[in-house]
Amino acid sequence: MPNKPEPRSTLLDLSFTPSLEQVSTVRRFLEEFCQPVLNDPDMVCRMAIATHELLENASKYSVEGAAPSRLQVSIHQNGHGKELSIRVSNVPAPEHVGDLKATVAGVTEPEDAAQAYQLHMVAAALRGEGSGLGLARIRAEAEMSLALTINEPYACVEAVATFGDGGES
Amino acid sequence: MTELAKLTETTFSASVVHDAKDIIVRFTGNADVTAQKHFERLFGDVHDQARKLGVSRVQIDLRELMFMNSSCIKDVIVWLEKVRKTEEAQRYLVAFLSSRSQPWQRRSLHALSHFARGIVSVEVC
Repeated sequence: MPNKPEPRSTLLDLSFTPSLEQVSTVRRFLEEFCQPVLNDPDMVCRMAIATHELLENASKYSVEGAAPSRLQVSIHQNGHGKELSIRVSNVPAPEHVGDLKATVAGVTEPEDAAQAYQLHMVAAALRGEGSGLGLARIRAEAEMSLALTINEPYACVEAVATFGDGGES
Repeated sequence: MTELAKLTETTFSASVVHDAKDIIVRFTGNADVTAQKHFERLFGDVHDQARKLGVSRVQIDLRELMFMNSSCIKDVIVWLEKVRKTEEAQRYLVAFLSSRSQPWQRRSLHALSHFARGIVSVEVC
């Protein structure tokens, strides 16, 4: 009989009005909040990188006055260790949805995350507006996988890290 | 030691000093949207001063910096690219001072040192 997956344990579920100025405040709160549960400074740092970058994206590209954005942090045990999931949902401006899909595809498709991040860095040096680095940074620096779900009008980007008994993802 | 620049915001501060053969840039707080307003200009000025003063090294002291977002990382990348393209006689090295107690620094600086191989060194304190 196959093992029944353990249910997700939600650590945090937060609705908020996107604001670039408040992103660091939320990240710092989350670092303190999750430290006793994760009990691993490096894992807290990986979570912080992902949370900060996802929240900044939501703040930059949300429709003004739309429904609040949502941050969900959950953890569950699987056969290989623990999985930490950071999900940020927002209502993106329609003109940004195509860019978001293309960016997530461009970041997740290459097999070698570190090499892809270097290419994003080269591109960033030539860019005018924006860095285009946030999602690539989550994958390479925070060593987390990324997935995008569109459920109009919402877009949800999820970053997942495996840690604990099974080692880092 | 000569102070070249000083920036103070509620959540972020930066100081730039000239000390013999080095320019030393010290950051404290959070390098996020507030800091990013200053980063491009700050690194542009550091680059100009480094060439004018003929220093051999610019030290970037991150030990008291809690976080740097990807927009600020981009400004660092643009600066490193400028250093790389600078003619050899005026080129200088970049040394990052990092803290073990800030694990993000190891991860971010690993990527930056690969990006600017031969220019960047990382010291862990």
